[in-house]
Amino acid sequence: MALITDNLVTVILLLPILGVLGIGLFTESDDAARWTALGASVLAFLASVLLLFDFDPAAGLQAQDSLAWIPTFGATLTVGVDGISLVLVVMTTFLTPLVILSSWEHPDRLRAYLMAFLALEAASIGVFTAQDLLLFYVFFEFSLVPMFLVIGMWGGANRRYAAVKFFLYTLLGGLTMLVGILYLYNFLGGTSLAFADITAQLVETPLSLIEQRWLFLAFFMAFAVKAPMFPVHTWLPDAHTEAPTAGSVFLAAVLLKMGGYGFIRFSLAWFPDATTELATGSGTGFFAVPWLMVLAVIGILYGAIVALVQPDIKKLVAYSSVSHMGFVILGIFALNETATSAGVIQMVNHGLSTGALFLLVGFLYDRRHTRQIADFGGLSKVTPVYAGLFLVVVMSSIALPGLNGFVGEFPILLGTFQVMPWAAVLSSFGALFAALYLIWAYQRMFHGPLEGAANEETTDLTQREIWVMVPIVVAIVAIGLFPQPLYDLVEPSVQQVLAGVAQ
Amino acid sequence: MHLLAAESVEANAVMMGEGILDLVWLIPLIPLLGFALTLALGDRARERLAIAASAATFVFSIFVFLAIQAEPAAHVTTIGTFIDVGGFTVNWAFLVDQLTSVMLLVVTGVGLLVHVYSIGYMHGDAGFTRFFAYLNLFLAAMLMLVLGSSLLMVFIGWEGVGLSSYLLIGFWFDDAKNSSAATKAFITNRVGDVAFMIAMFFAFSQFGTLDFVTLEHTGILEQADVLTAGGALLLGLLLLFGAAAKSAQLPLFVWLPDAMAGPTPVSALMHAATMVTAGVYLTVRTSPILVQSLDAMTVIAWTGALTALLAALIAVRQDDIKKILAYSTVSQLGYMFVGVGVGGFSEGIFHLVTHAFFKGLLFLAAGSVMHALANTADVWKMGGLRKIMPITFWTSAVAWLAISGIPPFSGFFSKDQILTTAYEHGYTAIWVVGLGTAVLTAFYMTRWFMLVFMGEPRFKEGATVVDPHHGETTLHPHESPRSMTVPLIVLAVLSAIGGAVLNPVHSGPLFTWLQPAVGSIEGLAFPEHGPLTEPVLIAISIVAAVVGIGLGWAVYGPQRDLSAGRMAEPFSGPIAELMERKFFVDDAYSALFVGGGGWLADKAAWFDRTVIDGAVNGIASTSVRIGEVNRQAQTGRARSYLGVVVGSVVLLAAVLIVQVR
Repeated sequence: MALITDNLVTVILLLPILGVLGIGLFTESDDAARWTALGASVLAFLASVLLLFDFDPAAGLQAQDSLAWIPTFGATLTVGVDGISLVLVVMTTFLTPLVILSSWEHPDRLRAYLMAFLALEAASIGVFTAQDLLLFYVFFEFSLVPMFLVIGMWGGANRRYAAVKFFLYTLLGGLTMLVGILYLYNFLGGTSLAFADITAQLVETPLSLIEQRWLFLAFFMAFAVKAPMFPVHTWLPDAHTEAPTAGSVFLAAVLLKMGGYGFIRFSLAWFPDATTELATGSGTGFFAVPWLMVLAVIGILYGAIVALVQPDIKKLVAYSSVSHMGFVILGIFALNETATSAGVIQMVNHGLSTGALFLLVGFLYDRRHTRQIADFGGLSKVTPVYAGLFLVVVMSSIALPGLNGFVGEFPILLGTFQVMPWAAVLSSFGALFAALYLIWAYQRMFHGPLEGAANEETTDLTQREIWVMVPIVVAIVAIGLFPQPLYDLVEPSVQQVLAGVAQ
Repeated sequence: MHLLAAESVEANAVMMGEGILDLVWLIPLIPLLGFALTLALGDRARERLAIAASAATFVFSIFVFLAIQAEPAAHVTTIGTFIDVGGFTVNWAFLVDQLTSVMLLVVTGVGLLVHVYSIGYMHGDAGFTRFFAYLNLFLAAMLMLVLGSSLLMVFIGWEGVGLSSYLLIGFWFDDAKNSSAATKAFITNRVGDVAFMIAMFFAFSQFGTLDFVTLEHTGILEQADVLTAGGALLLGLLLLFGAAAKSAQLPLFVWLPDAMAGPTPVSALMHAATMVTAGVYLTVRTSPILVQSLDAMTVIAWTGALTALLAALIAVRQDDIKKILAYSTVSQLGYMFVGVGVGGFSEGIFHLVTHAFFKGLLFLAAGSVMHALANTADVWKMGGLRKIMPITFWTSAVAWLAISGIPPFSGFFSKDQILTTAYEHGYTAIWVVGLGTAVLTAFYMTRWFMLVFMGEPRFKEGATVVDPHHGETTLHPHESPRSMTVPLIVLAVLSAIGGAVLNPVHSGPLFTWLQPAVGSIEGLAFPEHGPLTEPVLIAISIVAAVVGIGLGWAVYGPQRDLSAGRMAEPFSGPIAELMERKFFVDDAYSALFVGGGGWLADKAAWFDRTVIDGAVNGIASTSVRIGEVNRQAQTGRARSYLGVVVGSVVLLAAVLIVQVR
């Protein structure tokens, strides 16, 4: 027992991997695979809850487990969590069982499908907990593979194009990061790849501003594509449209967060001068423009405006992600304790509400095999439970106070206003546009006369589908009313990162 | 001994009061639970839980009022932290003072009456239970709004009433028209919400808190004088813009008339008596900030005056029994903003209270009429209902006289006091506009009253008509059931005597009661006022009302033959057209925002598909080649993908090793 409780992070990381192996080696039937996957993911969630209870927010990085890996490089298998890692890990382990439950009756190669999602979960947890740069990079790149397979093997009609596009975009971003990692490694004398060592060494031998700029750019490429930021977002709508439901949920809820996480963990922590310059426009010439904030604001407004005219509900949700992740980026680079902490919280909130939206869209697609908004109408009449849940999630997504979206979005904007009023004012209109595209879509899908046999015969959610949604809706309301426990977890870690930026 | 007893009774009263104020968070929570339970239990709950919750909040509010009377001060009850990060702190906290206690009584009192009324009105509707659940949700949000102890707590209620308004306007969602009206209301309100949010960002940057009052006297209302002149103007205008959406003022009033698509009790409770007054409440609540900028107040006054006039002009030529009242509501809310803008904060609240009585009554009466006439809404298909529906008729008559400004009915006192304050604070032009609007008000309300109740019936008893909610039916006009007439009678009594009891003279009981809770206008440099004295002003107000009623009587009175319907209207031509078409405001907005916005969004989507996607793909020209290779590799077999992965890892390792050596 002590072995488990003393190495919780490793346990959380290993459980989905064991699940993959278990399904691959020992299960014959789909049913056994289902229960194995659900069991492994639920256990991972329980373990992360245990970690949550043991966690001391004031203590910074903790629950570290370390194994020697490649001593020649100074690479170790080190994992651990601080507040930022922890909330993302818990979100991941919370959503994975629900994703598996939603795929319960997936008709095509179910065992491989479930293995892919458990592999994704492991990779994501690895990314959020790795405390070694090489380990991080391996997890970061490995997460591409199962997602690529999910889109490419189980996707829609245009899946190949979308899968390759997804792969190339993110891989190219990752390669520039690799170059950055190698430079950094050489610069620091090639002794260690552990985060803690790198941080310490960078204090002793600081990078020049020019070096910081290049390294910032190298890492930025990887994370900007992932997040995604304007103008490197166009892989996202295609990937979402072609991915199967569970793939979209995982992509939006978890994979995009690697971008925001990377910004905080690396850009802010290791290249503070370049970050400050690009986030505040404190330099001269090209660097007199706060580019990061400009791109975030464009992403918020542009994503929302483009979402407005999407005839395909899934594409609409995809573009809404571009807009909503813009808020996350805005908060992170506001470099203000309120806004940056809220940016982290908003990653969790976006995971819940957009994940839920993709699940709901998927449920409807399973019934109707169409995602065109124009094909629906008056559904509230025949699917009241579905319509009610959809409305709650829509309200969460447009940041209605009392639900989770608001408690992230509002402090992001409030904090940003204190340092860059124009950015907050422009971004506030994102909240208006979000209402516009989502409420309008809701009206067209659920209200009006119930016309056509296909609409009349649409059935309401099954028990299983309702139980997939209930935990998410509970989380949406709970975080919306009582967000402070999340802030208590995250704020000390954000403080630590920002302290480095301010110096 | 006697003395001692009296003292201990007093002490008990204070303690009980304190106890009540500590539990004030239950007031919004009770209807919230009512909402959740009613939805969860469905038709097993029907109206019972919702009515009980609504009654409980009313009783609670009476106790709160008594507690404040016993100890007149601002009480803040904090129950926990909402958000506390990086110096931004907001608590779940509730503020009760004199202003709150008045708002609580209005909201829960009218709320309870409308809940009761709805039992009869919504009887037989397929969504009966859902309706009561939504009503309770509204009540919870509205009570949060008036109890919030900071701008953010108010905002939570503010958005909550927006949601419940959306749900209730679109209650009969299978009609596309209702659904569109709901969307329009939600979006228009969101425009104002953006201003409200920016107001909060700015307020926080100036004060470092969003709390109204604090123990250390650092609340935004207590240190409002730290604002610069420009800052005070900006904050005042941002708050005004937020308030203008919720309270249907220029330029954001367009949603309210459409909102009449909701069931009539909703129109009475939310879109007349309570929710739409939230903007007025917000400006009065933040009046200590407003008084920092006379310019901001002048803008508020003019916004109100122009809205009042424009809406009254439109109301003159509407034919829908509820739309006339809706534009009337917009117009009366304009008066309240005039009151706030000219420094008559208590006068504004006074009109809010009397308006809740008589306009709530008018809407409930309209509902009673529609209930009797198979949901007919066209006033030209009514007439002669005074004998068939005597209770509805007599109660409506009280409301008609009250809104027209005939003494001693309530509307006379409140409207006159706003106009008098405007004049005495030197806003002569606004006084003139307000007076003209008063004539128009008396005129269109007389038209409404005559067309509905007086003259000969313009419908056929026993005719087959189509009821929009119940299909084909035979027309049998009748007086409404007791559950509907009792609320009418209660509101009629309040409309009749409310004004004279609450604030018969300028510095009456309500004024004195509210004074500690609103901003002080002492020392404000109002312009010089004209020579007229208060008795003269009052006489002019009465003349305006009488003239309006007289004109209305002359045109639409029972002596006229109105069987020709609309043809009987006294004038036609471009001006009448302009009024009927609502000055084309809706058409202009729809061209600009729906048309223009749609065009922009289409262009943006095209840009994303061709330019951005094309360019990024183009720049990475290698990606095309790699794409070709990958397309061949994409055999759909896991093994070949695995090869790619292993290859990448090997490559990575190789690069690393080369680097290290």
